Amino acid sequence: MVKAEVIEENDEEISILLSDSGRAFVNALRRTLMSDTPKMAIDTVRFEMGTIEQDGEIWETNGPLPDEVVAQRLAMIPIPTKHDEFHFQDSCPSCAELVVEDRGCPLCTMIYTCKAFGSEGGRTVTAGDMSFLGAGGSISEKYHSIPITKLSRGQMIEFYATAIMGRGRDHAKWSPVCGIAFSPRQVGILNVKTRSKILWDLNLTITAKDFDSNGRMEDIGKVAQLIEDLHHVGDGTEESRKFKDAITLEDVPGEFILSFETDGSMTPRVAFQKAVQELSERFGELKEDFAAIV
Amino acid sequence: MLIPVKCWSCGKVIAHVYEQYKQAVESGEDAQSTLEDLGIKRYCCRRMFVGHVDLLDEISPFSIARDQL
Repeated sequence: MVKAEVIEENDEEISILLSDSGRAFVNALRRTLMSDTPKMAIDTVRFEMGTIEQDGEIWETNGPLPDEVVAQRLAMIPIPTKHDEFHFQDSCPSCAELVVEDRGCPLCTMIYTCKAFGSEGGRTVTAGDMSFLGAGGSISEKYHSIPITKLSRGQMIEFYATAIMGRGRDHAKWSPVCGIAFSPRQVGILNVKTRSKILWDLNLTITAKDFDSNGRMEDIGKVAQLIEDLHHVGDGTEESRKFKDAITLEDVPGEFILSFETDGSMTPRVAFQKAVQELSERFGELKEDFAAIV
Repeated sequence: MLIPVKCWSCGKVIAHVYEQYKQAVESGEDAQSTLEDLGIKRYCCRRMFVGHVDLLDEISPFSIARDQL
């Protein structure tokens, strides 16, 4: 049974140590996080077209960016995703039975509206100008400054954007993670004490005291620092001629460190839990199919 | 044009800090330390900032309302 231990975590980043595992399994998890974790993203945008007169001025629904570009930018904005409140359209309890064009209800869609006017020097319309039709779905304040378009005097924009649940395999806008990578967990081995002095003399972060009595370093944070320090005595440096393999790194069999960030639509912990759930459901189905055949 | 919302390579949302980056660099601060302070660590995201040219202001005069032309 694979064990997962959170090494480091904040609102947008996480590092997880997976033990009793294999490279193929961790890669399956990585790919599931990227392409199978459910996420809300804007999928359809209805732009209101026309000219209006307000306070003696004429405003036209016009702007420097074409509607397609605005729609693409809207799709990239992280929409707060609540998995327990929203469903996929094709499995929505109230509208899944309808034809695809007619689907869309409060259980499977989130609607955002925006009406903004330009100004003399140019006014940037941002994600903060969009308001959610309903409660609790507003875009996180951190991302309010995402620019959507810029409008001059006489220009305006009005649109209704509909977000639905989707998966990264259909479009990158539904992928909640970024910068996802895994590497084998490594430990530092002090092979030759005398030659290691070359590294200590450089006065970097790691010292001889960080290794235990057996000449091993197992702490994950310190090993990460050791990897950085070893660049100063590694290939291509003058020190590498004498240093050789005085300190080496060794992979720990079956242990991997998976790290990733999310785009802000959900916390990394939720993304990980959802990915694990998706993966186990898929393997569960495989198991059932296999049992039915054999 | 406008800064892309996400990094083209890794997918990190970057557009929300562009204005802060622009102001800091225009006021004479170092681009490297500014990007580090803003949490832009990977070089794929960094090139989005240092390689970006804001052209929207250049083209916007060509899209003004018809009656003002």
